[in-house]
Amino acid sequence: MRQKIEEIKNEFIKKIKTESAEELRELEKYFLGRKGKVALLFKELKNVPKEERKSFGESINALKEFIEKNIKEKISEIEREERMRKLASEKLDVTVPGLKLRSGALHILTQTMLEVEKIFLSMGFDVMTGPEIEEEYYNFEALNIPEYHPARDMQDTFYLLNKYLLRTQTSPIQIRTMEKYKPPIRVIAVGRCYRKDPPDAHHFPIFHQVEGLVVDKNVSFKELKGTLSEFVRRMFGEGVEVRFNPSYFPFVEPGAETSINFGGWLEMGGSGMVHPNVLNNVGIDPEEYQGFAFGWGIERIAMVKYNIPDIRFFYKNDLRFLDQFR
Amino acid sequence: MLVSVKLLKEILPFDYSPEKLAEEFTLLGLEVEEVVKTEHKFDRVVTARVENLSRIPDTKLFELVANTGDESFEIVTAATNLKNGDIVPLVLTGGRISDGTVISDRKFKDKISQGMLCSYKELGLDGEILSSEEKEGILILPEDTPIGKPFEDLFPVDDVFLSFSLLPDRADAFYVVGIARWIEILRARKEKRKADFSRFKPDTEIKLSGTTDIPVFVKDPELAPFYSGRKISGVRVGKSSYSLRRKLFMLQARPINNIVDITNYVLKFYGQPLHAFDADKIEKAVYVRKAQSGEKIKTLDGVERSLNEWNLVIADSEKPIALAGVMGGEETEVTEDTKNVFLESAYFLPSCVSKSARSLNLMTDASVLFEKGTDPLFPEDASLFASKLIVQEAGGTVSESNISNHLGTQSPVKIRLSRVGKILGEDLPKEEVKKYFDFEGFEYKDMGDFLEVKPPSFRRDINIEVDLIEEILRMKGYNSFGEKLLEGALKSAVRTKEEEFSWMLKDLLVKLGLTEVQTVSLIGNALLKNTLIDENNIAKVVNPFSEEMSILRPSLFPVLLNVVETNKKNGTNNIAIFEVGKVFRKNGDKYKEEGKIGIMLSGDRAETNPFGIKVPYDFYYLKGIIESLLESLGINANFDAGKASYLHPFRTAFVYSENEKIGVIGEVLSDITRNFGIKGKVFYAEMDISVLLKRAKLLKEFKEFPVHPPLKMDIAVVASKEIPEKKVRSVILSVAPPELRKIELFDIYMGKPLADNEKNLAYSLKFFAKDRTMKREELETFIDKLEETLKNEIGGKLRKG
Repeated sequence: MRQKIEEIKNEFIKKIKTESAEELRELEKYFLGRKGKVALLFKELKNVPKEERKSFGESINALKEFIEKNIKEKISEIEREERMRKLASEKLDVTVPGLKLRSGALHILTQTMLEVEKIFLSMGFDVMTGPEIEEEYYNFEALNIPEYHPARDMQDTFYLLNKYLLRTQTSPIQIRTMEKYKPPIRVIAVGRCYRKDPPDAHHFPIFHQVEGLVVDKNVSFKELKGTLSEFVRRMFGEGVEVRFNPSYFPFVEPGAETSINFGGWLEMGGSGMVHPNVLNNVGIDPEEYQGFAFGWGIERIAMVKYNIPDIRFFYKNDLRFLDQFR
Repeated sequence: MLVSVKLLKEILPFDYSPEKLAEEFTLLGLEVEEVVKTEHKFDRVVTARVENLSRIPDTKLFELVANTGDESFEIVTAATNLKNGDIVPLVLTGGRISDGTVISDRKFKDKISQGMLCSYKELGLDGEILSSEEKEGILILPEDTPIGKPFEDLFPVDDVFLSFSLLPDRADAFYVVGIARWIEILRARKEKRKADFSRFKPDTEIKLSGTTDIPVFVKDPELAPFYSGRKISGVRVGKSSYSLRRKLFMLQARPINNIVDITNYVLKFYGQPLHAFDADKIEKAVYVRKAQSGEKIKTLDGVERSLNEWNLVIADSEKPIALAGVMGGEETEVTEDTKNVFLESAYFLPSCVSKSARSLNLMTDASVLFEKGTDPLFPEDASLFASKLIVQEAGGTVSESNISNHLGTQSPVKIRLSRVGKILGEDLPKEEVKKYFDFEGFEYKDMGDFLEVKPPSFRRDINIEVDLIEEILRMKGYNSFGEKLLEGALKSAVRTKEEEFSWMLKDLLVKLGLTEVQTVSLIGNALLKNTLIDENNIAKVVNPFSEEMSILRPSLFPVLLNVVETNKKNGTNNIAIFEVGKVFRKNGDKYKEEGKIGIMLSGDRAETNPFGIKVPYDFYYLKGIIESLLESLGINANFDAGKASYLHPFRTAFVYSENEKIGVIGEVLSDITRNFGIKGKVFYAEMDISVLLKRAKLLKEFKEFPVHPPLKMDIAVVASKEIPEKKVRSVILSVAPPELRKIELFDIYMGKPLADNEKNLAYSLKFFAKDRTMKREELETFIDKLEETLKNEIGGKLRKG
């Protein structure tokens, strides 16, 4: 009897080496089925002397458990392998490029305007707007630039009919703001301007400016410098040097030009203390109030910051250009 | 403006390198854009006198002896503009001309040429600064040019020029002495002393004999506050001497004749425009007056000009003979036959000259100086100095001038120390302020709390207190002031409503996968025509510089189509762009400026891929974008068939909100896209921003949503093709119970087994109840009612799913 148990076990160990789930189920039937080898052994148990029956019974049970356990393990092993085979058959070439869905993006000029607005908003500047078709009075006369003044040559102007023109600067918004609001005033305006400059790498008849205006009782040249320097540091980086030179714009006095050291000194834009004539023109007493104004080119800021060599790129809208800044 | 550093050094010595000088000037507010170096490229070129000139028989050649004083050279030349005694540049054998050619002895038949006479080109000189005579054949130099000297020593070809970009308020610096005065100011600041401009005064010592027999009558003294006219009799008009020619060379002025050269010299050097008339051609007297209507004058440039009310003229008893401060007349021009000269030196009111020149669109060296403001106290000195030069160059005797002087006294400018501190943000001691005024050579009187300042008469930029504050800043240095951040109430900063809304729109459109573009707002007529845009009430630029940028865009369609065209040409096929920008139209006497959103699609949402995914942009994709945008803005809108000149007549919709049109959407006519060379369909939508802003409900409110699972039911409606989907939907909604919360069209079918004029619309309906999961039985009355209503209202059939 003991020998038989041993033989069955050995037979099982030999046969379980199969890799087929089907064969395993056959094997299960062959050993553990109702007429299987183990069942036969149990039947033979009655032929064994009574006193040995218990010990043999335990041995057969152990054999049964052994076979059951091994078959179960083997089946789950095979199932695991089968699942792996199936997954392997679903293998993707992960190096194939993904599906490209172009994301939307703002134009680099708009991004620059947004950045500029955010900096000034955080410094407490309100954001104003004004028309692109402007009255000559707001673009020139009110800004201390009378008709036939040589300063008009600084800005070659596109004229429309009836004393209308395309604004050459965002400065008319200064006048519109001061006509509407009383000091303290702290505003910027960002917008499109036009000058009769034939296009080349650095000029385009259409461009954008950011205009700033601060009017209060004690706003001095120091605050002008402080504000613009702070803007430069936020826009171009903490360590960027700022320099101011004397300059001339009829609506400010003293007037200044600001340059930044960004791989060499680069002129960024004009500024100055609001001219008393301008304050008088909008009915603000220059003895009581004073302030500063500035006007910088958005294209200039973007070209310097992003190292863009030609202003015409902005208006060509080649997606190969725009996509570089998404 | 180019200024020779060599010339500046001849006026006053200084140690600055040209680059350092350029930087100092820029920091003073006289911007130097560029430092330009010029160098001679020739070698061994000396001046020589032409002697023994004769034609070589049977040739077109001449032989001559070039005498350099110590030596003589046999020269053969083909030039025909020579005569004995001419002084010319000679390249010696072994020397080089500017193109690098080395000159060796050359044989012409039996003659040997020991060197070569040069034209200006062979010396590499700039033709712009030479007379036409000097540019013909061999360059002939003034008669008194020393011989035997290297050419570059006589005419300083090797120089450095500062290229200034001056602003209109620097009237005092548009000429050489003006620039030199600022070097003196730099030196004074460095040496902490008062600037001394006395060295710049011209030499006016001259013997005057007799009076000028042409009387001067200034009719409009407010426009010509100072006028001096003097006669110089018995002059010989001819070429300028070597010394004057050399000055013109350094001033980069083109020579004409000695008299005109002198006036040009005084203008470019001292900043005083002068005009010399042929005195014998002036009838009786000189009048300075406004032009009368209908008057004409032929100016020196040969153009006959009709004068207007803005023109101030110099006239004789008959007619205008010059445009005051702008240009002389041809009739009284100084020519080689002129014997007597009437020399005008005046101060004209800047705005008068500015208006006069601009009204004729005639800007000259003189008008550019006058309109910025010349020195009112200088004309008589300039006249005397010029007369002295005329006598030196052309002989003659100088008469006393006839002067009309209506200059008032210059009143001082008051500056309060308190004001200085307030504007600059830092109180400056009085002594420091005075020091700065000293550096600039200003006179001032200490009045306690304020100073009374008299700047020199050439400083036309100083008229009010803040002008003086700028000078303090200029002298102290803009960069030696500290910085301070703004102080004030910490109120929150805001954008205007319009500005805020426009940012919101851009943000929403980007979220919808669109790329923003910024296009030109000036376009050409051709583009308008090619895009079939309405050409009525176009806003036109009166003075465009090109046709392509001569009108303001009335629509975003043409410019966006241009962007699609450009990108398709560059190989980008899938395009989804938008612009938020202004469009313009004329509106009676005024103009209308409106904010628009333009959206243009072409190609496919997904880039080319191996996965079989295609999401082609089409009408419904674009409509989806608009619907999504409107939903975000809280605007209820509906779409109805519409028409636009540039869109497919049967694939265009107008967008309405409460019966107000807010936009248009459609497929672009293929005739247009074909003309632009665009392959594939293009879709366009334009929305009106102001209406969107008016209708937007941006404050969102919480709406309860059901917690119980929905009851889903699919239905299909067969209806005539002519019935718009919107109608079918509205019938369904009209009979549906309030629990119907979602209706989605998921299929449109046409074809067998339906009749030819039928379509099948399949909807998925979702019903939610607040308090329970709904059961299908609850919908039975709805279905019955729907079946009946569809039949009655649109002749449709219901198929239940």
